[in-house]
Amino acid sequence: MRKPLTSLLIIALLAAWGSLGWVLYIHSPSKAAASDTQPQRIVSLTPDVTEIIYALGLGDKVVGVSTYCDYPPEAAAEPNVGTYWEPDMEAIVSRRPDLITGERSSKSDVLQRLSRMGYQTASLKMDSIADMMAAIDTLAHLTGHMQQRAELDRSFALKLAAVSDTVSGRPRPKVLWVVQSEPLRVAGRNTFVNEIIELAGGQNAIGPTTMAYPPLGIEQVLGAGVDVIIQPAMAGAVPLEQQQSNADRLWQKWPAIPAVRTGSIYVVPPDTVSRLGPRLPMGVEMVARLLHPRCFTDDEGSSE
Amino acid sequence: MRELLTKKQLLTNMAVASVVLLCAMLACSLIGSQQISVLNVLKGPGVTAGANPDYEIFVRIRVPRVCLAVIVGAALACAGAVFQGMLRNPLADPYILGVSSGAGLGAMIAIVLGIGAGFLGLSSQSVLAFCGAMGSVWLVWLVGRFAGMGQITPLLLAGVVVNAFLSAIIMFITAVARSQDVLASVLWLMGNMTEQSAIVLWLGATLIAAGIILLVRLTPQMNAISFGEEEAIALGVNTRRVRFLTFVVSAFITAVAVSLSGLIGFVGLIVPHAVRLVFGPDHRQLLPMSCVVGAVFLLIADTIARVIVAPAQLPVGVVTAIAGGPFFLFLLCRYTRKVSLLNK
Repeated sequence: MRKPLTSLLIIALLAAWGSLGWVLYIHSPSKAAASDTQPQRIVSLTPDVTEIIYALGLGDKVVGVSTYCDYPPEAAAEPNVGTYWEPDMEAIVSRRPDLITGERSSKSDVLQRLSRMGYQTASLKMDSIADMMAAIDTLAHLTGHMQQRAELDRSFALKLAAVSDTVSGRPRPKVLWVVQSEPLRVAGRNTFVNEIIELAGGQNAIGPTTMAYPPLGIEQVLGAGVDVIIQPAMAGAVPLEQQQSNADRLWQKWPAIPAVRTGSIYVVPPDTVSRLGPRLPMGVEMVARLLHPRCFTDDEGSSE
Repeated sequence: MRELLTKKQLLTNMAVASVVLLCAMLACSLIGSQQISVLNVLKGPGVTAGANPDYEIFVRIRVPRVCLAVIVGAALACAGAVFQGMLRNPLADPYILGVSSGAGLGAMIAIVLGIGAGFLGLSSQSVLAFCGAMGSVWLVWLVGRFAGMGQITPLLLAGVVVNAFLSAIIMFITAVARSQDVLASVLWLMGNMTEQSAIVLWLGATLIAAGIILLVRLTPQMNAISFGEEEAIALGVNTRRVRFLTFVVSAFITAVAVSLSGLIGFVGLIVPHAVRLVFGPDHRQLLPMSCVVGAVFLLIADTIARVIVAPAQLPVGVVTAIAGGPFFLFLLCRYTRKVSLLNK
C-alpha cells in the first residue's frame, strides 16, 4: 500500500515537470528578427560564400571561417570554426558573430540551428551561376556594399564576354567532366559545371540525366564520342602531375574514345572550376584554353 | 554464489550512481572547445544575441547537449538490457528488431526529398526516423508472431532480415541520390548529436522516462521469464503480455532516442553487459543501473567527441566504439569467471 505522502509527492513532481514543459513551450524560440544595422562580424561556413564576401570587400569584417575556406589567403588565417557539416558551435558563438553565412544545402542544418538561437543567418542557394549572382546581391544588400557589387558584376560579365568572343563560331567539342574516376561519376547537364563547359565553347558529352552527377558505365562513354576529358584534381597529398599520369594510364585502356586517341585528357586545378565563386571566369578561361588551344595561342600577343 | 539483492542495497547503489551522474553532468558542462568562465555565465544573457558569448555557449550549446547525451544514453542502455534479457541473446542491442534500418530509411527519405518542415523545432528527419523505426519494429513483430507463435528465433530472424532488406533500400537510394544528400544521411547514420531546443529535450525526456519507469515496473516478471518460459508461466506470469509490453516500450524509447540523435552504436550493447558483469543479472538492478551508466558513458563519449580534435568534431559513435571496446574487453576478462553472461 502506498502512503498518501508518497502519492502527493509524485503528483507534485508530475505537476512541476508538466509546468516546466509548458514554460519551455511558451518560450521556445522563433526565427530571429532581421537586424536593421549592417553586420560587422561575419562568420562564413562555406568556401564559395567566403570568396564572395572577400570579393565584395568585406574581408575586414570576417571573424571566422570553416576548415575549407582557403581563399583568399587572408581568409585561411581567420579563426577556424570546424566544417560546415560538423561545425564547432562553441567556436562559432565565441566569435560573437552578427551574420553567419553558408551555402543552402541538405548537408547541414547548422544555419537553422543558429537562427533558432537568435543569430542572423544567410543561407544562400549556390547551384548555378544565376544563383551565385543572386547570392552576391543578397550579401551586398545585407552589408550595404552595393558599389562593390556593381563592380564585381561588371568585371565578371567582362571576363566572361572576353572568353565567349574568343571561342565564338568554333565547333563545340564534346566534354566529359569526371568528378570521380573509380567508379566513374561525371557532371550532368543540370550543374554549374555544365554552364562552365558551355561558356568555354564546349558541350557536355552526356545527355540529360535525372541525377546532377550521375555514375556512368564505360559503354556510355564509348557511345558518346567524347572529344575532351577534364578531371578536376582531388585535393590531398597526391601531386597534380601524378594524378595526370594516373588518369592517362586509366583511360589508355579505351583507345576507341577520341579524347584518348588525341591525348586530350586534362587533370586541372580544382579551385576555380569546382567552387562556384567569383573566380569562375578564370575557370571558364582555363577550360576554354583546353578546348580551343589555337584560339588562344593566335591572339595571345594581341590581347596582352 | 552472489547474495540476493536487498531493497536497501539497490537504493544505495542507485543513489551512488545518481550522484556520479550529476557530477559527470556538471563536469562535462564545464568542458568544451572554448574556455568559459562561470562568473560570466552567471551574469545572464545580454540585451542582444552575442552580447555574452559565455552564457550563450553554456546555456544554448553545452547544457542541451549534455542533457541530450544523458537522455539518449539512458534510453539505449535500458532498451539494450531489456532486449538482451527477453531475447536471451547476448548479441542483442536496441537496434536488433529493425529500429536502425527503419529509422535510417526514414531519415534518408526526409533528406533526399528535402522535406523541410518539422514541428516544435523537431526536424522532419527526426519525425520520419521515428515513424520508420516504429514501422519496421511493427513489421518485425508481426512477422515474428505469425511465424513463431511466441518463440524467439523467428522474431530474431525477422529482425535480421528486415534490417538487411531496409539497408538494401538505403544503399539503393545512396546509389541514385545526389552526392551531397548522401553525405548528409551518412553523417546522420553515424550519430548526430546537436543542441536540440529545450522543448524537444523536454518532450524526449518525458517519453523516455515514462518508458523506463514502465519497464522498471516489469522487472520482476522479466526476471521470471529469463529463467525460462515454462518456469515463468508456472510462477503465474503472463509471459505473452510481458514480452509484448517490454518489446513495444523498448522499441519506443529506442525510436525516440534515435530520432533525437541518429544511430549511436555500442552503448546499447556493451553498457548492459558491463553492468551485468559487475552488478549481476537481476533485472531489478540491471535496468535502472544500465540507464545511469549508459547516460554517464554517452555523456563522457560526447564530451570527448566535441573537444578532442576541436574545432573539428568527431562522430560520437566513433568514440563510443574506440573507448568502450577495450574497456568492455577488460571487464569481460576480469569478471566472466565470477558470473556467467546471461545467468544460465
